[in-house]
Amino acid sequence: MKKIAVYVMLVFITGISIATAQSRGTNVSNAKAEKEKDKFSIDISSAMSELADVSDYQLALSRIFPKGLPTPVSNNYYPIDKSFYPKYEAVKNEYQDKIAALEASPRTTQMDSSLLFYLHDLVLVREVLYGKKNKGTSFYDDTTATYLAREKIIAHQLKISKYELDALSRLEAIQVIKGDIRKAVTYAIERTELYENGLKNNCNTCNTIPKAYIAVAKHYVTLKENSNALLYYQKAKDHAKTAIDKEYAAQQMAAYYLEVKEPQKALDALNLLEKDSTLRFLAFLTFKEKAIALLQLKKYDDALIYTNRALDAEQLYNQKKNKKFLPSTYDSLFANIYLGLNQPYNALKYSNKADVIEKIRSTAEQEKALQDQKLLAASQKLELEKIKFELENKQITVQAQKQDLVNKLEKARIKSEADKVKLEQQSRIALLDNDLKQQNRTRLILLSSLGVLAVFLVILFRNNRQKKQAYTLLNQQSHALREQKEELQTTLENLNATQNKLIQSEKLASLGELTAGIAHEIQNPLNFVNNFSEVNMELLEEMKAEIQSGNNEEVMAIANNIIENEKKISHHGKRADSIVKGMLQHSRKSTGTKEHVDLNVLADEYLRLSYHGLRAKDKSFNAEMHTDLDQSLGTVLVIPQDFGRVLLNLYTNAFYSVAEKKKISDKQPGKKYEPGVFIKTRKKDNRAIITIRDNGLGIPKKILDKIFQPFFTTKPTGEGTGLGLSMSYDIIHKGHGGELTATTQEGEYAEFMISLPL
Amino acid sequence: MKILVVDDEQDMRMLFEQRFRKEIREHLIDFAFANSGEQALEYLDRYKHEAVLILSDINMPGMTGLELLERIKGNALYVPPPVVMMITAYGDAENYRHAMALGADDFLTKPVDFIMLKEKLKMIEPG
Repeated sequence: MKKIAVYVMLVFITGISIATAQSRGTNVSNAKAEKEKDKFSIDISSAMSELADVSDYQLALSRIFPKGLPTPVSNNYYPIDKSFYPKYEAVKNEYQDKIAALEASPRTTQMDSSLLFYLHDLVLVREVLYGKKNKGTSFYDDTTATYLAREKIIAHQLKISKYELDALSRLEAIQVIKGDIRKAVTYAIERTELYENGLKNNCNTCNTIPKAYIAVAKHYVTLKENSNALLYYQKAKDHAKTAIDKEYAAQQMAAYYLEVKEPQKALDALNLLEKDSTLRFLAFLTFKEKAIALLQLKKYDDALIYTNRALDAEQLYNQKKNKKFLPSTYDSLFANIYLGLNQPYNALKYSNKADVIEKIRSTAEQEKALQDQKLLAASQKLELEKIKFELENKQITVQAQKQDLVNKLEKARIKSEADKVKLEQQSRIALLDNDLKQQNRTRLILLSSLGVLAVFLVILFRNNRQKKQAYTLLNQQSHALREQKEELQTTLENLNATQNKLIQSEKLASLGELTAGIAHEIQNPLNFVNNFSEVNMELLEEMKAEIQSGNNEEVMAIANNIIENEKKISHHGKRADSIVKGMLQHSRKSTGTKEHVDLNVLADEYLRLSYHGLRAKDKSFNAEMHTDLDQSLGTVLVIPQDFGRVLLNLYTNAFYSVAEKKKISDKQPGKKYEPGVFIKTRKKDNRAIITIRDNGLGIPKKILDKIFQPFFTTKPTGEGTGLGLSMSYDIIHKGHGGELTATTQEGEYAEFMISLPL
Repeated sequence: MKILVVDDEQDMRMLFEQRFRKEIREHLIDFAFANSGEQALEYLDRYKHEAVLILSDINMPGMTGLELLERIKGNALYVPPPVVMMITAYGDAENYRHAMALGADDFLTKPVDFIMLKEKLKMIEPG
């Protein structure tokens, strides 16, 4: 247990040392540093972790301040109260003097060991005074470095490994800060050699062995000497003895492989560990690395399993350590896995939706463009090959014809020659022998030329066959490419389907807004239906009594009451009916058929619904609603579901805007702001005009031309789908042949105008 | 007993008059009606807050029932403070908690159960 505690502290201090080194050395921006950390960053000064030998500090402190600590200390030896620095200053001066005196006097082992203690403690004191006090400017100064070098030599002579390791670690860290990694690596290697030669003077609180090897490996990574780095990662693994050390070494090695994008090797390194157990110490890092490796290998299902395991394990680990756990650190992992699984819906849960969609769209389109290009190139190549092939075929034919001709010519010549020979034979019999010899020679030439011809034909035939094979292969390739293209086409279609689903979810979102309003709107008519019918029951009882006593006047009065009440019941019953219908209409897919609708009624109905919808969510919200409806408007031919959706959208936006402005003005006392939404209908130039105006925040000029674009929203993530206005625009322009326009002044008002042809 | 009913639903007046016709005939209860929070406050000021009981809706355009409740219960001039019952279509816990925190004496939901309402009225002694 104690060992684990030290280990955790090491991990913690390692984290600090990276941050310090980075802010000192290379001025890496914070954001970048965060990013680096996220992917198992190269911890360049893990050597610093050696500084965390707690008991060693306490020992040193009790030597420095034998009468007790000057003040409560934090981080093991830093005084919390700055006013105690003079005490440290005094100790520093005293020790420096003592060291100078000891160095000047002749050597004995006894004196050397006290020199070593003074040197070691002086470094601590100097660190308090010049180190963390000036955090971020200079962790070490050159004088401290000189004392450290001395400490190292003497510790080595006295074979006190603990102090030698301590000095080496600090010297290594100094080089890291100075940016001389080459030197740092020599100190780190010295540390590993100390381990390899066996630690002297029982240094049982010294750090675990793999750390030194990992430090060397990481320096080599920084130096881009990968084969050396790998060598030391392997050494770290080989020298690990405990399960924790083994896991640590494997994790570090895997992190390296992940960095150099060799996920399979990362997996192999981790798979050598014993079976997966969430309960294991720091197991979550292993799981997370496995998940990343599997993600890189495109084994998304397995990656998902390990991401979940890592999440569980880290949660468990932090729970045990009473540490806060941020599940959001897994968001990008999840998002990428779900993208890989082609589940953009799930990816959305972990990432900004615009990012996800853009990512899918751009990859799909890029790949498609690439494949198109490849396909084009391939088909062009194919065409070219075909022409070449045909040309060569023709050439072969011509060649053959030519050969044929040559052959014939030769034959003719031979024949004529033979005739001539015959003639000459008859006339010059004496020369017969000679001529026969010549004929033989001619035959030989003929035969050999025929042989050459045969060889030539065979070669041609073979060439021809090869061409044909190549042609077939090319055909197959082009077929495969076409298939790939079709696959991409499907991906693109899936994407479109996703977009459609998003549109549907926009509908559902606005339905959600409606539901609360509907609940309210339905309870009200129901109140009247229930109560008026109960009243009528009572009245009918009374009426029976009056009829029996023959009081006709009373009977008539009661009957009139009943009729009045019945009218109310019927009225409110219909009201509830129309509300439910409206809701169903909204959730149903649009029938797409136009109906004659009283726009004034529709505008008023949806205004109430959206107002109550918003009120249901935010009780403090309030706004004046002003309606100015042109009664001469009459009915207009619209698709009621679609048109209602547009109204609901514009109203909701208006209410949202005034509510936001109210929130702002409430924070500025003295400013009186009355939220208001104004609805106006008009009949003008044979067009129906509906304007929805609010005195809310208005729309900034620079985004005015973007508001009708899909997925554009100014609402915080999760509050708006960014589809409302673009859908509305489509419905009015494409569905109704009308116009939807916006005019605004930022901070003053926004006005949306729908104009429909009558 | 004077009861002020506040609701933006116009038909509430007729409903109350029918439901309480006997009580009205026998002058046991006197009703006044307001269609908004603003109207209700105006009524209370004009008639020297003679209403001993206020039945108010919560969701109304303009001043909400909860704001009205806050104004009434927060006004030291109303002595004795009138009893305020909220009647709302939103019977959710949040609304209930809010109303009670502001000092509502009771919380009823729509549709209104008049038998229960009458029982509750009997418990309130006329001032």
